[in-house]
Amino acid sequence: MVASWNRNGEKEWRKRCVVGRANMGRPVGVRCLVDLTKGNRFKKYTIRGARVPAPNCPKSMKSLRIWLADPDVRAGVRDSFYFLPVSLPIALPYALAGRAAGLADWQIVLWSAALYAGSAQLACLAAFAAGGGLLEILLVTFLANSRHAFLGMALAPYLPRFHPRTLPWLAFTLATPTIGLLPSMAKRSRDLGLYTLVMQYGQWAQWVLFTALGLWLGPMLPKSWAPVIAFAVPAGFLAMLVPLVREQLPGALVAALVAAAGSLALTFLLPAQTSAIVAAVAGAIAALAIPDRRR
Amino acid sequence: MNSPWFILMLIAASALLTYLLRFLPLAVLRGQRMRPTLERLLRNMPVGILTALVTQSVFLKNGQLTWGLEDYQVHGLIATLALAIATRRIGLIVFGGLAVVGLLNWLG
Repeated sequence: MVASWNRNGEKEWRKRCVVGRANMGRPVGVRCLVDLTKGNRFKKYTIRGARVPAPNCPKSMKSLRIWLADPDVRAGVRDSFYFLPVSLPIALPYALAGRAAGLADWQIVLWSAALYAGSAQLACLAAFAAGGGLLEILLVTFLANSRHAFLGMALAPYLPRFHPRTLPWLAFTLATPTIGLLPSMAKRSRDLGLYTLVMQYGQWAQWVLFTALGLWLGPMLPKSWAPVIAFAVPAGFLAMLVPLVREQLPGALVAALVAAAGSLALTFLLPAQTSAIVAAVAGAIAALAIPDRRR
Repeated sequence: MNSPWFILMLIAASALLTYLLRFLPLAVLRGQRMRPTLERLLRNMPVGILTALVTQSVFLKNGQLTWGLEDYQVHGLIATLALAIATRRIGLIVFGGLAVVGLLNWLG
């Protein structure tokens, strides 16, 4: 089942099925979408052994148990935990740098919860510690977080599958893992909005928790662990990258190679954050030169 | 200057700015009918962003490029890449890569 919203804000449900057996004149195995908007309003569906009500049934029918049995909720919770090791190496130095900058513990955790910007938070904190004024710190925030605008743009192809009311909530916790996981989940997920919200807020909760833990754990960790903890970030991103490349071959491979080379070569001319953005755009443009095999 | 009120204002202002950076592209692009070329471009953006972040995390240390194989993270990158090609389990890939770097670090 796939949820989408039309231009009038009305929810539409479609079911993935295989046509061909129904003699619809297409070869067996061709995937299509059957519109279920009309009819079947209270029909129950069995999805992966969990009995759940029809997606557009009254809210009163959806108990917490049924909600938790929803495959998208379970997948969202599961996927949020994959990035547990990614939060740790960024949250720990952030918490320590916050203390060094003279912030109170509650201010460090509050800033982390309100911004949820990973390594970009460290840039803001560095500007604060250097004695920057409000405008200077906001400029650094803008430059360090401009990557998030590109993440939002990368989500554009999937936006019709999100309810308009979920977008403000989605935006608050939008981060790199989302764009890594969404392309593969878009094919399997019944309610992509629900999955994404559960996954994102699960990661946000871990991020805030690790910031608080970092205040306590940070001074206790041996320095020899630093390279291992630091490797969690590339390992997490690589785990998302390879399936994406595999699904969009050969264009994605070109995008990856150009972005990898560009992100290093451009550091001779530009700051690291900016060169990463420019290289990512250059890679995506280079991939357009390769014919799309999916069509 | 660094009174609690100033810090609270700073937190609120930086959070609002970050939120707008995230929300505005979603709000503007929602409901737009995109050209196939633009859609392909945006579909390839995650690959570009993730690759750039991975590459810089491993090969860029304190603003300096590091290429040497004596860096355990390069070995870890190769091991993680091999795991990612062999399996689709994100948890196994992340913890497997970390285990390789941890082992090399421990062996010294």
